Amino acid sequence: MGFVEFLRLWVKDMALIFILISIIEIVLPNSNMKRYINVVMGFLIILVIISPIVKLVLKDFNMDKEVFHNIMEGIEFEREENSKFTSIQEEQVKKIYINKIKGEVKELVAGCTDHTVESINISIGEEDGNYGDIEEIEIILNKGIQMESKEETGDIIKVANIETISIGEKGDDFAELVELEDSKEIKKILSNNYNIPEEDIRIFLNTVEEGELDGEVD
Amino acid sequence: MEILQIVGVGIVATVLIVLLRQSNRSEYALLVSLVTGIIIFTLILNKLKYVVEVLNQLVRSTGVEFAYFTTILKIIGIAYIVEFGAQISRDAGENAIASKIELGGKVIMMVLALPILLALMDLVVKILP
Repeated sequence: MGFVEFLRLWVKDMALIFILISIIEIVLPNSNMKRYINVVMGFLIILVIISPIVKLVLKDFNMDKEVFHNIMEGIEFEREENSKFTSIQEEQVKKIYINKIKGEVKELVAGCTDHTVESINISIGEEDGNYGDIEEIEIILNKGIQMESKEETGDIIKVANIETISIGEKGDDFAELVELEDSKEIKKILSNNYNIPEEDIRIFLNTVEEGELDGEVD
Repeated sequence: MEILQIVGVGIVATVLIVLLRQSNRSEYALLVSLVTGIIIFTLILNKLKYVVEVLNQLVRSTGVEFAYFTTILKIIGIAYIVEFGAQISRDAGENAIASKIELGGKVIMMVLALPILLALMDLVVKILP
């Protein structure tokens, strides 16, 4: 029997017993016997009011539990309604977090290498246990000298220092990217700073000129 | 039109009793009042039966134990009967007998009410941890 059902029956019983008592009051004799009848009817009313509670107590009914269960249900319902909103918010927080780490990594890398940072990919843990932990860092570097030369020459795109890469032999997903050999130092600094294993840090050197990517090479 | 019958019987009986008392026949006056009471009661008996039946149905639809309700009805009946007897005794000038009848009625009412009282006490004891 649910709590609501119990309350319904209880209130119904009380209402009916009071109606009954008021009907009986009409047929009471108007003598001093009325007093005694009223006492007995008072007993009956108390019985009707108390007995459901006693039944509930004997059944080891926990009212707190019931009430809190209902409150929790309400909260769950609200959460369901707001789940869309919450997921959007989480996305935003994640984005901001990643951007901040990117900025830090960029500065760190710039401090210990000649190359300029082309792009950084960071993947963070999504599970509850390691939420926010950095799982993997991918850094793509541009050759610093090239960038400088580009700056010097202004609009003219210079095609120079292209290393020949044979895609089939290396079997690497990053076709145009070569793994940087002297990346040990950067890896060490990053793994010390963010407490992640060095294997999860991957640094590539971009050997492709920007113009080449756009297909505008003369 | 039972009400007219009841009131008519009552008025006729009253006139008769007054006449009998004036002619110094109080013993017949007492008998007449007794018979009048019984006649009026039989006149309302059918109506009373209907009322009690409806009350029974009402009680059955509640969770109240039926025995308690019958106890209440019995107590009301006892009150009426005691009233009837006591007033006739008083009319006859026997106040002592009237109060004895009332005493008897009270005691029997108490005995009938005792099960309800016991149930209540039981509940109160149960509710305590």
